[in-house]
Amino acid sequence: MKGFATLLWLEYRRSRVWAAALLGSLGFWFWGLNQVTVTDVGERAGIRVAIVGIAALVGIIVLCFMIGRIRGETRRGQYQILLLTPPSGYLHVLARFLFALGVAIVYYVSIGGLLWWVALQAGIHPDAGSVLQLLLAGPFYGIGMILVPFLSWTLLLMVFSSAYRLSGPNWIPGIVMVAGTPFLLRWIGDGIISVSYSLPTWRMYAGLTALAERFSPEELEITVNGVPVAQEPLWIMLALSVVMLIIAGRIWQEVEG
Amino acid sequence: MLAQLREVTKRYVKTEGVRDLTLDIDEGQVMGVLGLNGSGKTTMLKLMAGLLFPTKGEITALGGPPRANRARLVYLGETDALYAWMSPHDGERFMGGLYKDFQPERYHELLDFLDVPRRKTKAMSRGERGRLRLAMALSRDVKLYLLDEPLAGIDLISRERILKSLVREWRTGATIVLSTHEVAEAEGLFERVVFLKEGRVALDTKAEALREEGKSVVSTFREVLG
Amino acid sequence: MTQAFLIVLRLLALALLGYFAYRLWTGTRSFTTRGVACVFVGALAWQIIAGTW
Repeated sequence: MKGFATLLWLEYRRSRVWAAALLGSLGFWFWGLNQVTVTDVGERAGIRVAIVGIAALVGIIVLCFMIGRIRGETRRGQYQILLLTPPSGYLHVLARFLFALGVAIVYYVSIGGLLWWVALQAGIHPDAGSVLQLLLAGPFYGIGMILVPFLSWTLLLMVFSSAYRLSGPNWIPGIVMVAGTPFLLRWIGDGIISVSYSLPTWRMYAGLTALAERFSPEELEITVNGVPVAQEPLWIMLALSVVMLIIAGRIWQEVEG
Repeated sequence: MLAQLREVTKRYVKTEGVRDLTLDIDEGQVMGVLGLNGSGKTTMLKLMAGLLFPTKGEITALGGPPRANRARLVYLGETDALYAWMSPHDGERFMGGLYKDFQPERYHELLDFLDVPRRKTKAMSRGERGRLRLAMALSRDVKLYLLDEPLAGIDLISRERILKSLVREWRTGATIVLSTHEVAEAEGLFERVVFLKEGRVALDTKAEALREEGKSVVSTFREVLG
Repeated sequence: MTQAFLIVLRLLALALLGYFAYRLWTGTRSFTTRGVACVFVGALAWQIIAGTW
């Protein structure tokens, strides 16, 4: 337990500048939202939602960069020191992943808060259930579906690349994995689509879909009772993430330093 | 027998790091590994530490595969590999949190003895970082120390003082396998000396035997390794 | 003509992938790493052979 706590501390010390920069950027995004001064309420809300979308994307990129610095550690020799520490490779990988996940949760719950603010500014007052979904359910669904697989894949990519000491083109492992991933993703995606909506769906944002009703053109009457979200993609992506993390830990155990 | 190598070969893509190494290392022995650059000293120590796996042959350290026993041995590599943000205080946190055999009092004594400044490693010279790494390594109470060029980057005046203290005071009774290419330092230091040449053992002898023949380690080095 | 060109391109891509596969297999002694390499090389090989270009 003490060993794992030390690994978490180590990850915090290694990555705190990145984490602070990402969480600090929330102030920048909020300032950006306030700079949107378009008079039309719907257009203003739309632009703001787009800005929040960009903030969400930036979060994924920064977190993947933060977690994926093992390659540099291999070059500088720190990986060698870590390989000989008592905790297993699984714990090393888990510590890095959990720290990034912790930062992600804070960031994306705050992103949910920004969306809430955007809704309020547009005159939409979500009920308590919708607010909870904005702040928690939505971000956690997004984290589980998109960020967790991305982080796991990045860790696997870095550990996989660091397993090689190729003379000559040492970019081969990275290129093969990066190039092969889209094709695997397509097959995984096809698989997810084929099983989606077999289980009961989750209805999210019922209170917020009033936005669609309010801003829809008169000729198009949109009545939406929440967004039906399939659970299967979430469980499948989480399961794949667990598999990737286990494989990354296993590679860590087997590599030479 | 604390460590054993049995016909150990480590092959890389185009070269061999070591070839057919067979060595038995007794408990409490202080052994020097000498050789020219590229002779296999680092490869041998990494194999004994479990950082590398042999292509052929078998290695045991502390009764089992070295990597499985990594919590019970110390390996100090020659790479200057501490995190730039790490200070001696962080080093204590790191070592104390991960190693049950870490001794904080000994660590502080060593920091003073080795004259390690209390600042981040990015603000230290190479020699100071080397001394910090040495303090971290020697603060663990284990049976087997594998030290690869532990004094690289440390000034000449300090080297002899530190080396002699290292063997005689800081870890008496432990098994120390130390590589160096500063051959003159090895005089009077090691009980046993292994000379490596092109990945093979060129000579494995007790230092006392050399002295009885009227030879020095330096002259033997020149004779064996040309 | 285009078909012939695409076939040649596929063969060249397969040859390059084969070289990468050789380097990935021989460049590590970790079986899990080799397994991961096989998965991605396999995906790329399938795309080269059976995918639409």
